[in-house]
Amino acid sequence: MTQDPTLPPAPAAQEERNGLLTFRCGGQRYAVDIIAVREIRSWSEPTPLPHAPAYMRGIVNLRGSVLPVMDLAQRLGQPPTRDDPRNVIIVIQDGARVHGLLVDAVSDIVLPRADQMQEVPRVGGDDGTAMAERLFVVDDVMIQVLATGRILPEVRSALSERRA
Amino acid sequence: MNDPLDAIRDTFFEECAELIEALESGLLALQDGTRDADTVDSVFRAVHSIKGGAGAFGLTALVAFSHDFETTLHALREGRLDPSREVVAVLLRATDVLGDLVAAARTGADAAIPDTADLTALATDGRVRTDFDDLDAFEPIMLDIGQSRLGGPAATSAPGSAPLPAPQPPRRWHVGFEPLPDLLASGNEPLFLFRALEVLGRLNVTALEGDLPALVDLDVSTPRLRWSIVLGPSAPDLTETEIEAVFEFAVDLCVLEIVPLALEPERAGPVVRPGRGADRPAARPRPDAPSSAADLAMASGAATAPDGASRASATIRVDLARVDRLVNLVGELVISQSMLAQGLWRAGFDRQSEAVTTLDELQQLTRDMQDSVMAIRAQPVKSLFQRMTRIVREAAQVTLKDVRLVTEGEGTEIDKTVVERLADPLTHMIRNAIDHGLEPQDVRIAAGKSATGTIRLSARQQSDRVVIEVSDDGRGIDRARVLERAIACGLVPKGKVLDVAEVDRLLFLPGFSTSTTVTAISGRGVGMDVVQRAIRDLNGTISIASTEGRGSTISISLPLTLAILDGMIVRSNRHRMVIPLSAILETQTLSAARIETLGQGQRVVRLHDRFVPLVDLAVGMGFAAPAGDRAPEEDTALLFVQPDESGPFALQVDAIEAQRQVVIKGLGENFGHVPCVSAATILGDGQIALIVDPVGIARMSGLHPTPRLPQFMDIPSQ
Repeated sequence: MTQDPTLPPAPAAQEERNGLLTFRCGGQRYAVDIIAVREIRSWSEPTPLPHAPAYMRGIVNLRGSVLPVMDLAQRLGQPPTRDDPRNVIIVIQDGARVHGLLVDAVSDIVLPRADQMQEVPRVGGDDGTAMAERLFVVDDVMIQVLATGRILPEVRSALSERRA
Repeated sequence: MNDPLDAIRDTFFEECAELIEALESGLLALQDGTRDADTVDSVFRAVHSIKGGAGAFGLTALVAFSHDFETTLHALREGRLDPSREVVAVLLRATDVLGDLVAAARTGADAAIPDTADLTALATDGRVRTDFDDLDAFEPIMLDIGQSRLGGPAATSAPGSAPLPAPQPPRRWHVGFEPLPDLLASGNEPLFLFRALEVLGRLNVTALEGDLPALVDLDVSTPRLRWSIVLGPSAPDLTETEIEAVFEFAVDLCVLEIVPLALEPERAGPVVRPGRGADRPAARPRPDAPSSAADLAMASGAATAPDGASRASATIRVDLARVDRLVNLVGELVISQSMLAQGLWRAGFDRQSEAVTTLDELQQLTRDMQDSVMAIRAQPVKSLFQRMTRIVREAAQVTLKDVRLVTEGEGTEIDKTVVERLADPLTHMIRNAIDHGLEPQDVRIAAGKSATGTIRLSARQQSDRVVIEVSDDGRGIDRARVLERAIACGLVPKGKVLDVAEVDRLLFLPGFSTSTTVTAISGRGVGMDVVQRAIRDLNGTISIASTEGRGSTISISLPLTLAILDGMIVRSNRHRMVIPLSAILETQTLSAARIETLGQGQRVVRLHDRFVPLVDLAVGMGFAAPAGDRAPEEDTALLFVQPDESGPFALQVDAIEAQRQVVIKGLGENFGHVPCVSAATILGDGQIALIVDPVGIARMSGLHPTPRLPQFMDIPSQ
């Protein structure tokens, strides 16, 4: 669908009012909708899961429930995040699912104007870009807004594909 | 919470389930020769209550059927019908149909109106219908739903019609209904009462809006309206008791007046008092007052009356989610408490110090609390066993066998979830026992057995597990035939000699069936492997014992709860994991074990008189590179485990750290199926440990028995 670039779609403008949590991960900058963020917790060593995809770092104890943690950098096709006590886990919620994203560090909460947002340009079939839904530029740095729904369900299918 | 009406509806269906249970147990008591009026009354009341509720929710099919059912039971109550075995059999089938209709109503599915000819025949002349051939007579009524009966004379009979002739012109009734202040607070709702009343006949309802206070003074939780109702009954023999029964649960909360009317009804019964507030039109409710009263009832619904608890038995209905939350919280408490204990120990507190002794007391308390909370979820298996009576009935009818079900230990309690999830496997086992286990009557008689086969369903608690057994006195397992079939199916190499236990285990292999013919109730490709999987999902084990010619017994051993597991905490390649104690046969130290290496690095270890495969736990879980490149540690031990479906094998671990109860944390929606893992738990230090699924390890390590047999290797003769 083609749209007049000077008139951003109304739903997007609505959505941006929520604000975005930006963070660093694998040398890049990303953002997620702050509404999807349940909490940010400090790093703790996950218990690995057997026969799981490499980006699944395992599970950690989130106040008594089991929280799966994935290495976001690895999920986006970059080298694995190095273990560092300064790493953080962003706990995001997508519907009934709660998931942890291991990232380098949380940066800021921003409220970009609708006209700052840009659709992700199509660059081949790169998986990494497919998980971002929009991007914007702050202080000359590009920040990709990730679609939580696009990151998570694939975790599940990747796991279930390995069913015996 | 969505629509509050939905919640009421749910409650109704829950009650229906209980009522049908009560109905069934009442009928079974009648079948066993009980003749007292209480039993008959309880049976009648159950159907009546279902009818009333169904009317309130406009479930017409259910109302029609339960009405006919009720009419028959009414005849029973009045002594016009003798509860002979045949009569009770019809009533039991009607109960099954009623259950099906309730289920259909709950899901909103369309159920065709069932054939009630059997019932009406009973009600009108007390005869069990025998005017069609035997096979048809024994066909369960449920099969009639949605399909016309072929060939039976019942096919053309008009369904659902009230069978009784009208001996006299119908009388009309005046019902005066004046709610007392507590009526709404107790969850009663005039509108629903009237709807229930409407089931009995045509209503002419007049709201008496007499002494209403001013709107500002109106308390929404206090009923102010009174009603005068003229009821033109659809059944001519409607009694005062039946009308009263509609108000059964509101009877203490209202002033009720039921007066038979002459053919010409007089308006304004004695209940009507001159209104004082007639000059305050502002306070006058709109004509649709009952529905706005419904809203009021919703508004006050949160403060449901405490006096309801004093009625009937001392039980309360609690949302399962609340109980589960409590279970979870107590689980957390146990974990935090053991974390605290570790912290104190690390901080160097003396064992005799006050802090440590107090903590010990706390530990005892939390354990007790945990047990008590678990007990809330516990349920007697009675309801489950009662459901099986229907399965037995139906299976007996289809197989044309005479079967008696004997149940034992119905009071044995087990986790609610376990009870629910046992229904399918038990159904399957019982059908199998009747279809394959019990011989046809002539064979039984020839073998000197009684013509009636017996299925015994028993439950008992054995320490912290519950054992449920299904046994039959049939022909037992024909092991030669089982082996023959297994060889024919390619499950066993030809000429292989198996011992008795190995042959019995063949029954649990997927795709195995001894039945060469597919019958209506078993042999449809769903084998005992499905039963076994269901039991294993409940952390249970299953075993089979059989004597040829004498019968078979299948035993299921289940944990009391799904929330706690007895496990052995082990370490392998720096990972701590939990092995369910129920899977462990025995442990050996590495130095005591006799390990041999076969080709391709496959190691085997001696267990008693056999060699079984040896798998390194971390390797089996995919946490470490294969082959023995990790040097054995000082504490290295071997755990011999036996998943039900395959032979035993050994898991090598670096250390056994502890043996304790762990709180099971499901992996939940986030994961789908994770191989080799059944769940997780949180250890005392807050770290998560995986609960190992030995079957998964066997499968991932290529030890799974299908398509080949358990990898037993006979010890070479020395």
